[in-house]
Amino acid sequence: MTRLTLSQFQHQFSQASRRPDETLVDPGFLNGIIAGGSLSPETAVEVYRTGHIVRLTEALGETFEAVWWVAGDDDYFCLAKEFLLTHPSSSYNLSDFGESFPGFLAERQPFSDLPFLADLARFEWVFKEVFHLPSHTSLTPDQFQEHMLSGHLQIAFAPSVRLFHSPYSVYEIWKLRGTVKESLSEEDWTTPQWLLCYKHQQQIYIKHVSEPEYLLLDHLCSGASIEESLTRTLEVFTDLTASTVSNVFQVINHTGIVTHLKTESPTDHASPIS
Amino acid sequence: MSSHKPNIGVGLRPTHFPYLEPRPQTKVTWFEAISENYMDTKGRPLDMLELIREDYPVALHGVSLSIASAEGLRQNYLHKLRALIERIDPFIVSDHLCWTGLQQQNLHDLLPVPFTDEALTLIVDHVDQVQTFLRRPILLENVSTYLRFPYGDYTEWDFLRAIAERSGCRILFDLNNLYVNARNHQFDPSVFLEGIPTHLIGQIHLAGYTDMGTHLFDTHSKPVYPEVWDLFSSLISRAPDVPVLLEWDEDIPEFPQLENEALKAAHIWTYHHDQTHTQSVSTPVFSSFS
Repeated sequence: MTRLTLSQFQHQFSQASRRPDETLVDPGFLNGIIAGGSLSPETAVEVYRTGHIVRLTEALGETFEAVWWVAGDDDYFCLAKEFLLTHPSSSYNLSDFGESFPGFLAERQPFSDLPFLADLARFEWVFKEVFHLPSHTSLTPDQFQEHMLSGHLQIAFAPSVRLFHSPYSVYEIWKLRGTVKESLSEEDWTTPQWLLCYKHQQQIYIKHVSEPEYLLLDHLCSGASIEESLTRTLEVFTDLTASTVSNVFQVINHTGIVTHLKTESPTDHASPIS
Repeated sequence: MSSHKPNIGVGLRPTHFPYLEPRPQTKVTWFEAISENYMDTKGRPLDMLELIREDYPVALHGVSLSIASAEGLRQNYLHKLRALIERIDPFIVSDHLCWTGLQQQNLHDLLPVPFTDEALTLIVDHVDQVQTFLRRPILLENVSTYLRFPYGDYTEWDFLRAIAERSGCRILFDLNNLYVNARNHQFDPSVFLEGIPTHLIGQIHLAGYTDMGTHLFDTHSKPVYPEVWDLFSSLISRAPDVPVLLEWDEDIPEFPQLENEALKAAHIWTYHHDQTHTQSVSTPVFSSFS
C-alpha cells in the first residue's frame, strides 16, 4: 500500500465520489482505506458518492422547485444527476449551486412537450436572487412627483428590481407548483409574458407589464434618462401612447421601487434581465 | 457542585422562523446558526438572525471552511465570514475538522482526514491563518466518518487534541459523531472521551444518528440516543460550564418538541451540578447512566 500525500488523497477521493455510477474505484485507492462498520471499501466510498448526489440534488430542488414539480421525480432526479456531474460546484455556498441549470436545460431540451422548462428555471433563479437581496428605502410618492418634472432625470431603482421576459407564461406555471400535476395541462402556458419582479419591505412582488412598458422599464433600469428611454422605446413602438407611459410611471411610483433620482452619471443599481 | 446554570442551545433553522418571529419565550439560552446560510443573503434569513440576536447569544457554525483542504483556504469565504461575525457578534465561531471537496469540485460534505503528521501540520497552519484573519479563536468539530486510513500517525482523539494544543483553537465536541465513529471504527468511545482534556472543549453537540444496518450514519434526524446521553452525562459531570447544543437537521420537529429534547441535557446537567434540583429530577432521563 502506497501512502498518499494529502493532496493526492483528496484528488483521488474527489474523483471516486464524483463517479457517475457504481463502477469500480481505482483498486489502489481502495487499498488505502479501511471501511467503517460492515461496509466494504467500495460501499464505504459509495456512501460519500451517494451523499454528494443527494445533497446537490436537494439543493438544486430547493431553488428549482417548479422545475422539479413539472418534470416529476424520476425525470428531475435524472436531470439533476446529469447536471451535477457535468457542472461541479465551485462555490463554498451550496445555495449558489445551479446558476447554470437554466442554460443546461435550454441546451439539453429534455422534454419536447415542455419547451418552457429552461425559462421556468431562469425565473426561479431570478426569484432566488430577489429573495436574498436587501430591502431598500423607497422614495415616497410625493418626493417622486416633486422631482419628476425634468426629462433629463435618471431613476435609481432598488437593487432587487429585475425584469423578466419569456415567450411562455412561466409565472403562472410557477404558481401551480405543488398542486396536482393535472393542473398544468389545464394551463395555457403559450402566452408570452413580461414581468417586473421586486422586493418591497421584505415581500417579493411579481407584476405583469405589457411589452412596450417592459421595454421602457428596461431602458430606465439600464440607467438611461427618462427622455432617452422614451425616445428609444418610441423607436420600437411607434404607437406608444401617453396612457402606456403614464401607466409605467404610476407603477414605478406606487410600487416603491425607486430609491432616488439622479441627473448625472448612469446608475448601476439595477440589473435588468431579459 | 457548580453555581452555574446549564447553557443549552438549539440550532436556528428556517422551518422555525414563523414560530420564533413573534419572539416567544423559549426554554433555551442561545442559538447556533449555520454561517453559510447568512453570509450571502441580505434577505429574510439575515433579518431573522438579527432578530434572534437581539434576544439571545448566537454561535456561528460553518460547514464550508474546509480547514483540511490541501488546496488552501478560500479568501473570499474568510472575508464574508468576518463580515458576518462583525455584524452578529457571536460568542462562538466554529467549523469542522474536515475538508469539503476540491475548490473547483466542491462535494459540500464533511470529508474524512487521514490522521497524519502532514495533515496535522497543514491544519494547524490553516487554523493559525483563520484565527489571525478573524482576530478570534475558533472551535473545530470532530466529524462522523464511514472510512479511515491504515497509515495514520495518530488516533482521532490524539489528532484532535494535538490540533487544539498546537493552534490554540478549541474543540467543538460532537458526542454523536464520537459515538458513530466508535461504532463504525470499533473503538471504545470512553477512550476518546477521556482523551480530550476538558479545558480544550469549547462546546458540545448532541444529535441523533440513523442505523443503516451496515454502519451508523450521522443524519441529525432523530432524538439523541441513550448511549450518547451517557457520554454526555460523563462529560458534563467534568465540564459544567461548556455550552451544549442540540442539532436537528432532517425531519425537524416543532420548536417546543425540539426544546424539550434539548432540555434533557439541562436535566442531566442539573443532576450532576445542582443538588437543590435533584429532588425534582428524581430519575435521570438517560437510560443507562450509572
